[in-house]
Amino acid sequence: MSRYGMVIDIDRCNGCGACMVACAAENNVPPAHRDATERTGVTWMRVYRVENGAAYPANRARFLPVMCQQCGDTPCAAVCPQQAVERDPKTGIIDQVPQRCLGCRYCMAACPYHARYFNWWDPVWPAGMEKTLNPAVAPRMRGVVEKCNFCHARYQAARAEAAAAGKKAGKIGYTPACAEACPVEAISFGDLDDPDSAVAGGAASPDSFRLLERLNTQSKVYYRSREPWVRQMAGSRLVQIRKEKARV
Amino acid sequence: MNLGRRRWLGLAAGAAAGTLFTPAPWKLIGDSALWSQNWSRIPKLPTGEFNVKYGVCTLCPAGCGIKARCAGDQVFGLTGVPGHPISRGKLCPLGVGAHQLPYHPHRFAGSVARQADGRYLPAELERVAATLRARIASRKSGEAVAVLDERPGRAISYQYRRFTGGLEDGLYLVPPAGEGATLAALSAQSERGASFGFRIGEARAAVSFGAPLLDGWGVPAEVNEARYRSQRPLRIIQAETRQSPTASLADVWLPIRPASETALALAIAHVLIRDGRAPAAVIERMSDGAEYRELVMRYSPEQASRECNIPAAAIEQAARMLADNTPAVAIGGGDAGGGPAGAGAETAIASLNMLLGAMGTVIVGKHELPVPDSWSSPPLSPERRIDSDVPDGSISMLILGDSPSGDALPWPLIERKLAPDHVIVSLSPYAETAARRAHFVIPAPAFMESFEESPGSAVSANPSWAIAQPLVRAPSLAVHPLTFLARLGAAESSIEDLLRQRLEELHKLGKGEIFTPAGTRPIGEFKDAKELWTAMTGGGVWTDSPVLEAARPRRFGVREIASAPARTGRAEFPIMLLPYARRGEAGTTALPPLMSKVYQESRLRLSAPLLRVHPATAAASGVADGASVRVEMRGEGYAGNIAVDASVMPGVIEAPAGPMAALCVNEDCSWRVSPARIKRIS
Repeated sequence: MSRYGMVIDIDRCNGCGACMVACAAENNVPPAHRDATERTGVTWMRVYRVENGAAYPANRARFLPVMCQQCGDTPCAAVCPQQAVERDPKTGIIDQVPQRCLGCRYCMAACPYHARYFNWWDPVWPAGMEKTLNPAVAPRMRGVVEKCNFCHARYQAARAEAAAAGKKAGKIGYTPACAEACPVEAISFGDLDDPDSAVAGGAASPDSFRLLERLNTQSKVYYRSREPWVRQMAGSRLVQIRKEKARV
Repeated sequence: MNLGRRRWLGLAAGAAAGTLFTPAPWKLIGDSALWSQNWSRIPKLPTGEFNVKYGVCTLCPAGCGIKARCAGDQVFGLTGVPGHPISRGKLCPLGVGAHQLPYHPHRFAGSVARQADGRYLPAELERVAATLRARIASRKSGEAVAVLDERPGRAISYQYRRFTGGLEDGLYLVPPAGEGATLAALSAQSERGASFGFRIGEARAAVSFGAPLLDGWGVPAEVNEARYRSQRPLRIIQAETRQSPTASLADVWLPIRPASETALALAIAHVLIRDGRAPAAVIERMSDGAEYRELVMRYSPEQASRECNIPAAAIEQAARMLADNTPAVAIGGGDAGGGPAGAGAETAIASLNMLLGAMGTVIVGKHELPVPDSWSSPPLSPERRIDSDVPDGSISMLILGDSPSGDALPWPLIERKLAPDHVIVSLSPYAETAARRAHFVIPAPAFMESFEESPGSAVSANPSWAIAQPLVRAPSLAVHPLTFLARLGAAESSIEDLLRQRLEELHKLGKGEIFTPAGTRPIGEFKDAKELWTAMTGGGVWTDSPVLEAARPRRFGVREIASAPARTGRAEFPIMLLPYARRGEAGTTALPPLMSKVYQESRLRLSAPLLRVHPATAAASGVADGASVRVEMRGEGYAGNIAVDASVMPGVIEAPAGPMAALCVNEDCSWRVSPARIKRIS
């Protein structure tokens, strides 16, 4: 049994967006529909530019990658009428089952992190580009909700590889696409229950925190920053930030 | 129980009403909608056995290693190569999505000619070549035929040089120095032919004048390794008007006024010399040491504080931080959109390095990669820069090369060099930026479709060279630049032959080592060039140690520093326009469609027409948030929408120079800061 989690070092992230592109390429998220906006586009992982709110030149900014926080106590699963949100007991990963999804979007309303996305359009790639899709991940159809699942297909592939190599079922090591792509190694991934893992150490460090911790969702995505204003913002102002960005 | 008609109807009605409160009917409706709407839209996934191929990314000069995940022969994902000496297993967002580029919707399907109304019509290669040959033969004396190569130093670059060398008035042009501007200034201050590179890992501190050190500059993995090492991490002072990602993450951000880099560099030098923290022997050794000292002494921190609009104490503190953390380095060059700060400012920045102990430690000599003798024998055009070495209005035929640098190449800069009756030929595979201005387009194979090479970063002193093998079959109508040159009368060869010739030279040299995903071996262990070819085309990269002993600069360049033009607002253009971009996004290449995630769908990066201004600037210009405006400069301008943002410096416009953005070029061929004004579009 594992409890996969992530630690993201905000003081390293330069907002390049490699994680977002890698995530979309890995999980067959299509390029934006021509009418898609920041509110209606699908990005399992989204990097926000957050600021301390001061005027020039006292302003300071950081970049905050936000994806499904893989809550231990999942508000989305509790409201889904279709049992379309599943928790894998072996890994703790919360997955979305598009075949079951009704498209009611209750889960989107319930998610305090705005980390779920609705497919407003059919998934379409420019002519010929379907050949570049990842064969290990099925594209989702219009009318369903989708979200980050810690690259569950990579976990399945790693598990199959371990089984083929005759290894005993147990801890499977793999890396999601975003962590693999991050050029500054701001994202680390692993088993939070393994005291020797980098993520367990990172999550336990004094400068680590979780988004909207007061909601007690027991999320498995931890962040790190030495800047007090970043920690304060992450605790209370996340929703406001999203609204401000939507306005831009 | 008696089930009469009334009861049965009641039961049926109750069951129907109850069913409405279950998910079943809604699911049925939803699924019916999905099946009926999507049945023809189900994406077809690639099939075939999973395998992995290795190569090198050629989208920018860094030369990152790529691991292509394939289903059969089809590439479906790119990741970094673990342990790669250049990229350390990482890629930028362009590289991560680059496997989409061969299928880009803006790709040319074959050779085309642009019509008077702007439409492209298919044109046969032979007919285009015949037209161009006739133009070359009939041009007037003094009118040049030029090739603009954004990625010099490649095998194909030598073929361009031999083609133009064989013509009377042939010119081989390279773009402005870009992120290597500081090194170019140092070369100009040194003995003829000296070339330099950075070993950023050797620095303990860096002062960057707008260079995006933490955001894709040079070889990003080298910078990140220095910045995040556990022992003595690289400390960064970012002097930049805009709060760029590097400014956000730097140890110190100096939010200087636009175009005040020269004053800041001289003020830092002032503090170093005044406090005895600069080596006196270095100043004595320079031919203009006395003049430099005199110039620097005029720029006290207080004086510079007025020009830069930052406290004098901040300048003193920055200078002390650099002096306490030697060897330190000063880096200019700017980002991919804004470009260098101008020759005078770059010389002032370059000269600072001589006081910071960077020369011979952080800034060392740069290798010239070996080439076969036959390539460098006459006829061979010398390398000339389009911004400084070519008279205006002198080019009658311009051939825009096949590979982008990733940096902005402002169209006004090119346009001013063209003769009135000119012809432009583009070899770009994509209908983007400069290619849209071309009269003829002969599209080269796209990324991953032919043999390419990466001769290493222009700014890193650590030499490297890699070959990218084709991973995707090129369409039949793509024309390799060598084929095009052959049609114009240059010698015919294949790129594979040329690369093999170059590899033989490298093998003969016998220096350095070869990294492959299987391990690293000294080049001497490869018994012949054939074995080396196998390793290099399997994701190999050649690396060597840098040249530590190199020519030293002989002068500070006081004349260039003093002649730097002041860039202040004027009555008619009171605002300063600051274009910016990340590497690869302001150049002449196409962006993978998945970049919509960072532009359109998240607004992580602002798109080109969004102009950020301070509330005070917006009020002074009479515009509000979201207003449609036209930014006017001297004879130039472009339309955009205002985004009012209190984190922007008052009096400036921050303009993302994203894909297709227009840039204004000043008289000194710089475009980092341009005087402008905002006009509301009613």
